[in-house]
Amino acid sequence: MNFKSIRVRVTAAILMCAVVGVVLFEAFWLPRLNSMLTETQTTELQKGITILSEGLLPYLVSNQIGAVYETLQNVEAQYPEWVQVSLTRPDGGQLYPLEPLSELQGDNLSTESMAISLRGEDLAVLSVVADFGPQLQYFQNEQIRIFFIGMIIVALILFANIYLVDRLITRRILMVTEAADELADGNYDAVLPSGADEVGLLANSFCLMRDRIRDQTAKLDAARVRAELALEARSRFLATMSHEIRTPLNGIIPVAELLRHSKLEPSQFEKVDIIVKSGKALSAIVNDILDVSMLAGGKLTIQKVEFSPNELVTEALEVVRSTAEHKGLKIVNAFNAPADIRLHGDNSRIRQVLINLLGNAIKFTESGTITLKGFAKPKPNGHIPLHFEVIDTGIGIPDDAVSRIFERFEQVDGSIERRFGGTGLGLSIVKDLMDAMEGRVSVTSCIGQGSTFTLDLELEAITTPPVPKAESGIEPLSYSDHRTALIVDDNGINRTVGSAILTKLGYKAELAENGVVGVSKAQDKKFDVILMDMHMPEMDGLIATQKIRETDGPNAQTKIIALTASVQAEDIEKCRTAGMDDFLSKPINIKNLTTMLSDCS
Amino acid sequence: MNPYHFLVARKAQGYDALVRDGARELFGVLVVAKDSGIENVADLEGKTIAFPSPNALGAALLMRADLDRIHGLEYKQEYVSTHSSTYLNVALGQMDAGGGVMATLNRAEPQVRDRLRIIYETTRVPPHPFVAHQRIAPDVAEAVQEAFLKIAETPEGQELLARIPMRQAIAATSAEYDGLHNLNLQNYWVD
Repeated sequence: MNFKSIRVRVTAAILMCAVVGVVLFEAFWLPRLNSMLTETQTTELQKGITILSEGLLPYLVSNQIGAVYETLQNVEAQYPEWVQVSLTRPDGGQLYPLEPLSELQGDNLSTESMAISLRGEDLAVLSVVADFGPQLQYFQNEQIRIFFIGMIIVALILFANIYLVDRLITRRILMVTEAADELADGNYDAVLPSGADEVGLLANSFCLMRDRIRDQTAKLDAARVRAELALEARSRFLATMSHEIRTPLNGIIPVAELLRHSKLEPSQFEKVDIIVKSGKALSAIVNDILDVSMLAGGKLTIQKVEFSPNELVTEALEVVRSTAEHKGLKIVNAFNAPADIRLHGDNSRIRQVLINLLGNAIKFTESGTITLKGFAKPKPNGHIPLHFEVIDTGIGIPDDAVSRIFERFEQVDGSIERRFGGTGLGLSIVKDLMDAMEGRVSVTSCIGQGSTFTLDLELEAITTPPVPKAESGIEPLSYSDHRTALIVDDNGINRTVGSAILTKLGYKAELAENGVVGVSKAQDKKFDVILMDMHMPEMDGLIATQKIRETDGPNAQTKIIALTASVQAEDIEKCRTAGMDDFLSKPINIKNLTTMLSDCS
Repeated sequence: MNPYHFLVARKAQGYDALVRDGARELFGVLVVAKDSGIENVADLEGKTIAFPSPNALGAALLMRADLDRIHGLEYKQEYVSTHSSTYLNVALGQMDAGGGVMATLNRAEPQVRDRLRIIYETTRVPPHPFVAHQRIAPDVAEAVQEAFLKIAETPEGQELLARIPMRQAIAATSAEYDGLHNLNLQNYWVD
């Protein structure tokens, strides 16, 4: 039972009133009534005795004892409550009755006496013992009846009250409550109680409120849909813009790199080098924007591949080493992990985070050392905590900025941007990526002395021995004669760039401007490798790959490398399903392509 | 008619007795409280005696006449209106003795009667006669007397007469009441 419900409370109140009424009735009213009744009876008795004395006086004067007896006997017969009537002489002799008086026992006996006298001379004393018991009993029986009738009335009031409270209040309020619950579940049409009383007014107010909520929810929904569409459009716009910017970059960077490798005047080399560096910087910005849009859209997926943390650290340091050395900074590798340890995780994302932090450290350090500390220590449960610290001796970060630097588009202050450049996206990407990998990033800093960025994450260990991997590098480029390659891409620049790189790597490259042409060329002739763009008119790269694999043609076993601007996990999966062997994101990185080609050679 | 009234009426107007109850005689009784110690009339010298009323035949007239003429008793008289008052006064010790008749004494409540003791019975006289006036022709009076006696012969008639009360109706003569006359009750009559 719910002791806080209105029904229970009202019932309790009525019961309490009834109990108080009963107690008052029993404790005060009944005794009072009884004493009043006794008083009345006594008065009646006194009156009766007085009248009787008057009547007996003449008989006593004339010694008419017979008449006295007759009178008293008649009186006794008429008043049954007069249980003993006696008449005694002044000397004590008993005149009436003849028999000696018996002792009477009883709770409600009352004795009244009166002297009968004539002119001051006492003739006799009349005594009457009256028993009020039967009268009181009768009266008390009536009281009990009244009490029970009262109880029945209380019970009726109680039931009527419970019924009314239930019908008028409880049930209808429960209806409102249910309607409120339904409202919480999105149902705006639950039945509400009607009526012009208080509950009815409540229901009406609730109904009005519900209608307003319905309207506002509809408006909010519409606004949310618009906002989501706008966000989606923005993400799509960013992705498309990045893609569109990357496509020409794909033309600029590799060609500039190729050009830089050719024989050039020193001043020409310097200019081409600027083109390469600017192009790469632009490419990095575009990649950042792409990452941000993917993270914002929740489209980033964390992959699980096998990797060596030691190799990862070496690679990351290699990427930034030349920049650091250019600035005269010393790079120290203080990463300490067992040489054969191998982990399961998204190595490219971890590398990206490390490169990002190292790049930042280099950017904000004028002189000194950049240290990459860390360890990977296996735990008994097979998990391996991976810990990195990127320590610089740079300008440091003020305390009030420490909490903000992982937010998007935040740098320590606006002037930094002008002085050091950058989009301000780097650390927010680091933070988002660490979050996505269920890791943590934190920073401690001291103005003028440097900053320490700390990374912590936990990965699964791999116990199987590592697959030996062929050494590869951008220098020296491995030239090999008589090798053939097919480039399938709808973009002329991409075809040209790809052709130039492959030629540089010693391949004879044939070109196809879409999937149909690509498939037809693949049927004619055996190639050592096929570079396949994924998105093309007429026939895309996935279908073209399937066709090449399906037909028992000369290139059914040839290595097919997908070329695409999108680098999402699901795209990679689609490529694998279609029968592609490897995956290369645009713009084509000569080093990566060289590694892939050396694998299949 | 009360025998004494009959004497007065016969003398004044010439009534004659026709029928009377032959089963009983009229006399008074003198009662005292059983535990009073009074054994005879002489013990009542100077005491108080209760009577219902002065002219009650058996209880007062015959009794007072006897007490006076036969016993020469000096006593105080109290008239207490009824026979039952007389008996109660004696039983309660209010009076020393009381005059009554057997019929009322027998009708008294047992607890009253049980407290009383009879110490004297008066001279006996015939009970109430059924009388006729002299103007009634003797043959009519005789016919009435015969019819009366005839009624008494049947059980239904007996029942009717018992309610007068008269147990055994017999022919009465005025001479039967002469003895009463000799008691000189007129001396005790109170007007």
